[in-house]
Amino acid sequence: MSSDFSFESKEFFEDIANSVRNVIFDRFPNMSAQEREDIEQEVKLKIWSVVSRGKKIDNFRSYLWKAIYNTALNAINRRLPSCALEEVREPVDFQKTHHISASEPEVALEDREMKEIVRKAVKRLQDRRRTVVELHFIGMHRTEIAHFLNMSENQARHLLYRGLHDLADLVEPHLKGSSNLVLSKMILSQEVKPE
Amino acid sequence: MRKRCPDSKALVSAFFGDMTQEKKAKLIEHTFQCPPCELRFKALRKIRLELEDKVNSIPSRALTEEETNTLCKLAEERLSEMGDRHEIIKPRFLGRFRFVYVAAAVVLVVGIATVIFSDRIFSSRFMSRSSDGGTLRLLEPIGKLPSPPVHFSWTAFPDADIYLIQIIDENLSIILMKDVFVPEYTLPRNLATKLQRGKAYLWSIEARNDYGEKIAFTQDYFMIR
Repeated sequence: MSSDFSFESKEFFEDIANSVRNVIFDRFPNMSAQEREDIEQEVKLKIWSVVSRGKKIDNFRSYLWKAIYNTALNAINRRLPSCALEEVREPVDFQKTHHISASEPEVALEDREMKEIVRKAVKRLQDRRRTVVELHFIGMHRTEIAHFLNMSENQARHLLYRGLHDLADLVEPHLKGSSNLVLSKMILSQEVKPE
Repeated sequence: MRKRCPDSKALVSAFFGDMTQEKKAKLIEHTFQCPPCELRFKALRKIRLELEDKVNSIPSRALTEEETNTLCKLAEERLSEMGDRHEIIKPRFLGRFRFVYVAAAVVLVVGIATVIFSDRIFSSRFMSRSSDGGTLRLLEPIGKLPSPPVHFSWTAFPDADIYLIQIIDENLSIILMKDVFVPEYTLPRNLATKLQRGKAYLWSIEARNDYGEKIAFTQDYFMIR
């Protein structure tokens, strides 16, 4: 057990609550100060309530993880119905295409259309490659993808490389020359080539 | 959350690894196409990344009695510090959906009137709405009351670890929203005095399990004569 954890440390659980709170704030940047205060209190109350149960728990770490996840999801779910969809931050993380297209205006104009084309093309990928590529676009690093899908990092890297390569082929007929170049750059920038 | 969206339990299971690869692939496929689910997924991912080292420093075992007692004492102190100052929470979620809540308020008031002025009021079918094979039933206060209620009670629900009690007035303002561990609650005097004669109030209990998941819900009305 690491020295980080102490059963006497109030700060330990306060830090956890603060991290959860910050993640929720980050998801909803347009929240009012009052909403932020409400969420902060809700998260702290929940975390401390969980800690105070005082009943026999088979695995405290696992118990705390589930409680943290559920607390965050409850707070988010309550917020989502009152939140316009456009307030939800950029859906799929196409930031790789964004930052390249920023230097190529004509591609930037095609951004929305391009995203839709890519989204449709992802659906046509082979199962395992598709899952890895989807996680990649959601923002996961390949180490995380490997962990999330219970596979080795090499497997994840290979599937991602193959998936993005297939994706480029599927998207190519729909794109103009410069866009195709963008996608090629995107693939090359992934550093996912098999070793 | 849309009907076809995975529920919180499924999302948490995916992060815990206790989900088949096939189900996980379906969940990811949906998440990729659904911005609200992507938001939830990304939030859990961020939390895991931020807290991995910290939470994993906790022993992966059952706590000893001494450790449990220490934690309980610490939590009770902290909860006590936080006190009752958060018991009244004004609704801040009206915003652009105000018209929906106004319509809901009208329906609520009509519903309350129907229930209160009907001879069949508070028959058992109004008093109990249960789920998951158990029965969660409100015991008191129910119906027309001579004075503001102080004591609230309901039946214990199987596997419930915590109950969320809420009292809402006719304007849909939340008078009380509080977590309690036993199936009863005594309203503090400062809140009891906010309940007005001639007004109807909706109160509800949400039962949650160990992991904070909602497992049952019931609600009813009371009116102070």
